[in-house]
Amino acid sequence: MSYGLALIYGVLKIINLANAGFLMLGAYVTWWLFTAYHVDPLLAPLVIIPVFFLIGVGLERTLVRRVLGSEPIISLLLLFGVWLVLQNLAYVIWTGDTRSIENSFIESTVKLGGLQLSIPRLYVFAMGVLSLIALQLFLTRTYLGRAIRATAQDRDAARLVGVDVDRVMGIAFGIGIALAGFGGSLLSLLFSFTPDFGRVLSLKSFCIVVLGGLDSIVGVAFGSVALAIAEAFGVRYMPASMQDLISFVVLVVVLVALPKGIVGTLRSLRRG
Amino acid sequence: MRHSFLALAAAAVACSVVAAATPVATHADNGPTEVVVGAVLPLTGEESTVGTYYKAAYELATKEINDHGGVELRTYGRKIPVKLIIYDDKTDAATSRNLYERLAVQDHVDAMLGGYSTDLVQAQTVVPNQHQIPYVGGGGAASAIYKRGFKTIFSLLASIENLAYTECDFIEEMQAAKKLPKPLRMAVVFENTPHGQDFARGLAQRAKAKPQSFQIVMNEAFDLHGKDFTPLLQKVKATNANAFMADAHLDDYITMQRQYTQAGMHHAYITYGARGPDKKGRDALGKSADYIVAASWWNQAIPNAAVKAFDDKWAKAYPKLNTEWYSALPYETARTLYIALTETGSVDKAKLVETLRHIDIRDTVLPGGHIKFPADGQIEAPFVVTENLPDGKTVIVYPHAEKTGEAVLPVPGS
Amino acid sequence: MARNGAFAAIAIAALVAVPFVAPHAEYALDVLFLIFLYGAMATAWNLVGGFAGQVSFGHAAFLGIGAYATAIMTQNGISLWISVPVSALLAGAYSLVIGIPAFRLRGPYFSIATIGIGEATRLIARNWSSLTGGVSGLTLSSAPPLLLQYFAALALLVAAVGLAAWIRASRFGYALAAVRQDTDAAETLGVATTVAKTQALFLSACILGVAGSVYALHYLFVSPDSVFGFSTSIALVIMPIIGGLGTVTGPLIGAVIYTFIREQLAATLANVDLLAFGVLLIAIVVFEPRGILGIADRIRRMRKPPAVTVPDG
Repeated sequence: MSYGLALIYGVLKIINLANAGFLMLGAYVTWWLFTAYHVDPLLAPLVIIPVFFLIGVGLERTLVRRVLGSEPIISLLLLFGVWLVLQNLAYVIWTGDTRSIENSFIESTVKLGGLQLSIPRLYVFAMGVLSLIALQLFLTRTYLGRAIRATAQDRDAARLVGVDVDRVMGIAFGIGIALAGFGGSLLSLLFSFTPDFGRVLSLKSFCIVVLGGLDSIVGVAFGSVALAIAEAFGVRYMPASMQDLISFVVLVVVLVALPKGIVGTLRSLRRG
Repeated sequence: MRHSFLALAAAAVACSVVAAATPVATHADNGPTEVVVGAVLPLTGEESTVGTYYKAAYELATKEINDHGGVELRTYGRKIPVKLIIYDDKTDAATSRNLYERLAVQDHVDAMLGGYSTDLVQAQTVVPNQHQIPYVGGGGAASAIYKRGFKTIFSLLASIENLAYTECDFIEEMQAAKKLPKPLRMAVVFENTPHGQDFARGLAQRAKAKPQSFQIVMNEAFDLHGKDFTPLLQKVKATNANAFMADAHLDDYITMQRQYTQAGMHHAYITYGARGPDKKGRDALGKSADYIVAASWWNQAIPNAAVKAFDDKWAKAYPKLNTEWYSALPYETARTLYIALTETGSVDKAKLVETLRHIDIRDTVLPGGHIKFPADGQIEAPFVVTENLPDGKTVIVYPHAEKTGEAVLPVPGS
Repeated sequence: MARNGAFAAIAIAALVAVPFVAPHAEYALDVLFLIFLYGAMATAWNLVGGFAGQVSFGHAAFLGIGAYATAIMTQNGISLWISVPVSALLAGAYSLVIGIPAFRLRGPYFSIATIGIGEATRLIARNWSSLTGGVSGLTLSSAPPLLLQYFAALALLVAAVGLAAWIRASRFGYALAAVRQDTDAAETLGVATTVAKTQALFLSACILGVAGSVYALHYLFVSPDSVFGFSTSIALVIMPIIGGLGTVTGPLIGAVIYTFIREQLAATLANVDLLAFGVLLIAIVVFEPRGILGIADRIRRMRKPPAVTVPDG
């Protein structure tokens, strides 16, 4: 999900707060398909990814485009409003009751070398790695991918070489939203959730994106690992409930001390 | 800026006029047309499972009394029907408090019935205290709630500290029967609320008093309504305790026990305080809920005629709901309020509080057979200890008066 | 300006009169109290978010510090006359601690950092149980009489709005506006931007600290999720935006609307009020970022032919 954020920021230079909302929505749609139509939650992404992609593109065209010219704070507020709407719409439709998906897959575990590992966790991890690889390939090997990167680097230059910048921005946003929904769907396998679900995770993913440096996909992967290590480490020395606190502290510290993220700082150190 | 200041001035004057025009509430001399009783319950949100039961129970008790024409109030010489108002606080403490205030200031209730659970009750009770409205509750068990010197608050739910002591009494009995190791090494985890703190404190006191029976090897708090307890459970695993003593509410219990099973953990004795025998938990957890021991305020299997009668009555009124402790407790709570009103003979709040302070109800389904409030307002009723057996069965294993079967301990396979 | 003062005086007089002409209308007094309190809070936020253009999503932190400080001191028997100012200063001190590093960030980065700060503060309150009572929070046994609360809140509102009006017309206000427009340009022109931002934040935090005290003494219950919660921070952002970001009276207008919608929808459908605010927020951001005052301005301009129009607000 952090990749989605990085992508949207990179291309549109917008910080998408609504990601949390779409993450949560992804989880809820998966749950709803499971309980109402008995759709296997593993198959739900097949529906979620394209639908969310279209929603993302639509959102970009109708709302986001209008505020692209103004101060960045305006787009921030807009997406924040979208998030508010999504979250409270979920409260109205599904109420604040905790929901979870329960089936045999969720409970399954496997013993590997003395460790009892939960299969859903392995699955989610594997999906995360796969999507990272897929995204990297997309951005480097396909025309569209390269067009996105070009727009991220320099919008006007991209236009000059013939990139349909408007379309690209819509697509980038769509991908970002689709990734958020996909992430939510995966997470629904691991956790029970309420409409408030996306918030802490979203902030952590901001943390990751900032840690890794907002402009690079590799940085994001690096950032996630770094944050996970920091959290696991921290849990040994402080009560488990302080886990989230660690990410926020890291977020603030990194934002202030290393505004270019770790990767960015390393890069500039290398250059000069 | 000029125009906005003008607008504000106009608005302010309008407010003044409107407020002045509000009619003053008057009471007819021969008594009210109805007795207004209010409650705020978690009908949605994390505690909605239990909250909806409380609503059903309050409504059942109210319907029963209204079917007979209402509450007999001798000061007015007639029976007056009860109007029950219930709001949803969405399991949020601040909302709960605000809605109780609404009941007091807007709905002008004569008395309040309590909400559920400890956190919400602790917050919401500031309102009846401030407005000096009698509040009879069956949903807040932490003793801290009643140690604040609030004079109009009464609870039918006995304290969690006593719950812990009851379980310890049971454990000692099991140790004497050689079913549990002595001393029992306990890993204690508790929700970070007065409820959980009561539990931890009870166990700690007992361990201090009887170190040859109880040893605490881990004592840690966790946040309510958590999503992921695996780091906590890993710590428990590392202590090599033989008993896992947790205090949690229903949703956390389900999450934690599920993750406990996924982590492949085992102990000779597992308890989640009052959680365990209820059907929602068993349905959600399946086999993972087997052999869990619980101490509860009430159980439908208690072998006496009054309990059976209530079980039948509840099943008839609500065929889709189970008969859990959270059916009986709120029902008795509402009944207590109505009995107290009848004894008082009027809706005078101060007199009602006095009645509640001295009341002694003998015909009740609660264990112990008495509804009586000591000085701090929280009843001191005994608990029953149950154990979950495979195939959805439950037995009451302690105390002897209520026993229906033998405990299977240590937990097989540990 | 004098006319403004006159209107303000009329408004204040009318509001002061309410408890005397309608002493039984407890509900009306309650609602007005809330409007005063929210209005003061929104105006305080606006000093940083509107005047200086630094949108903070974590301002609830200051409210919470004020509320908790007063709650803790009251529980220990300390008189109001001491606990309220101390709470304000504590909130102010906290603002300096976080402001100095946070203001090194610009625009959206600052905003995100504030979310982190707000949440971090909430988590600290949640976990520092010995001081704050943890998740369950703190309760107080008795409140000051409603009349006293009413006037205190009104006084706070008047002070806040008065301060905002004075800042707006002062050099300090111009400095903040410059920071809002373009921080770098302001620097080159010799404006000490960081000092200005920090001063605004300090004032904002102190007002919120007092508001927190009033809040604690009214609700008699403080918990990490209620005072430090994200939804509280959201409310502080929504009110000034709806009314008119960066204006003097905008936040108050926003507070009035906010209070009414919340009161009306409080006991009914879950969260419909927040849903409405989300939609409202989107609509305003997309169509008229200057909020209601902006809309009012537009209507006025459509009626009058534009001679020399000075943007009002």
